Amino acid sequence: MRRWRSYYFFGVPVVVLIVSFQYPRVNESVHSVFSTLARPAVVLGSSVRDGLYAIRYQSGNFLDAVGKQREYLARIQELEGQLVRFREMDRENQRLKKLLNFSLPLATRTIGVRVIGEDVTPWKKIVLLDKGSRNDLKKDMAVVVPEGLVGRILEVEPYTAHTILLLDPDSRVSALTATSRAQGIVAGIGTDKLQMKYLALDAEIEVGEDVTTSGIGSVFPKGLQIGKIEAIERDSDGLHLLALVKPAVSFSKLEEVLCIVSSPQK
Amino acid sequence: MHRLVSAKVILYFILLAVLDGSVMPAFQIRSTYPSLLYLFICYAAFEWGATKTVYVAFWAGLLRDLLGGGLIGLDAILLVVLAPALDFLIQKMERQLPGIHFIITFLFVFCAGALRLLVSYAGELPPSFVGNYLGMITMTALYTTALLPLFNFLTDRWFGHSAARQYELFR
Repeated sequence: MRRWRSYYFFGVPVVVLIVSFQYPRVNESVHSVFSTLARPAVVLGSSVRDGLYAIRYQSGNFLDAVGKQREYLARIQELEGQLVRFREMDRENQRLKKLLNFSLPLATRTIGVRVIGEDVTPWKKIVLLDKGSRNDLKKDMAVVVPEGLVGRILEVEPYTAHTILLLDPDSRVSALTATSRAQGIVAGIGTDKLQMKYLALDAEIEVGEDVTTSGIGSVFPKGLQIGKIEAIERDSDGLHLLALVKPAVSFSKLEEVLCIVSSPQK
Repeated sequence: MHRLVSAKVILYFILLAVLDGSVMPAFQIRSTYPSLLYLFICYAAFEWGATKTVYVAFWAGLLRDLLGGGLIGLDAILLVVLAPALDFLIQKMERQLPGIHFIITFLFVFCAGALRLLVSYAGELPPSFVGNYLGMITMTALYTTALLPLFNFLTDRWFGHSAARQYELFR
């Protein structure tokens, strides 16, 4: 009887997998129901995780600050001087923009959400957000933090949403280098770096150059910071350049993010 | 441990699933963190006997599928296939070797990760990614194995120390 039960349990996951594969809607519905039911427990777990992050962060900060107090004081004085100069440059920039008749983008509507879970597969970079379609989130909305672009919404359930990060191997973003304006595609490679592909061989890109979204494809608004170029090499086919990009966002410390709900008027 | 369908076991499964999905990322090292559900499967294999390991592996795999995205049942199948291999390996170890628990746990977690990688990409993985991913799987296996003594201690406390072991000489 016990052996028969063990064989039965070999068949059950096969049946479950076949049903999931043949009926994607059933798969999505089950995920949706489970996410909704598990949300309170997952939110509780994420609160514990946030507490641990805070302890680690505060401890690190305290130890760091104790050792670098004098350096910080000198740095504050230097930054205050720079701030005065940057404010003057900003005022001059505003005047020049008016003269050239530039139209500044209107503020976009955003929704703040918390990251409450992650995909358990090591190379998949997908996180779970604590809001869903009931809070006006939709598939393919861009997700950002002040440092730059985080990713886009992959699946939406009523009270939660799955977001695919830039680091995921299946993530693709149309991008532009800030100075040389070379266009390419930024893709994740499953590690903590990104790859910018399909750059023209004669593109005058440099190490240290900023990479931003190009706005092509109408998923991500133009001008969102992606990262900085760390290394440049030729592609394996020899027809394009390949750049290694260090992301602007620290993906290991994501806690609160913003979903861009409306696009800026053009 | 006599019955798997008990409130303690179900609650423990839920607790481990929530910890795996929400809390363990706080302890990540270079984007890898341990899996408590894998440790529970190894615990069941070492402590509860061959007939129970498959059930634990099935429910652990199903919870991993539901927590992550993708097809439901994929992780469940992989772990159910590996569970008898795990039991077979334990049955063949006739004498206690130092660190044998750690070696078996490491091999189980590594094989589970490698099989998952193979099935996910079905041979279409670019060669440049293989090294990175295998490195992540190895780190995950090492990190998970390192938590084995603490996990066994806490799980023994949760379920109560049981005399029904697979092998008396396995301590």
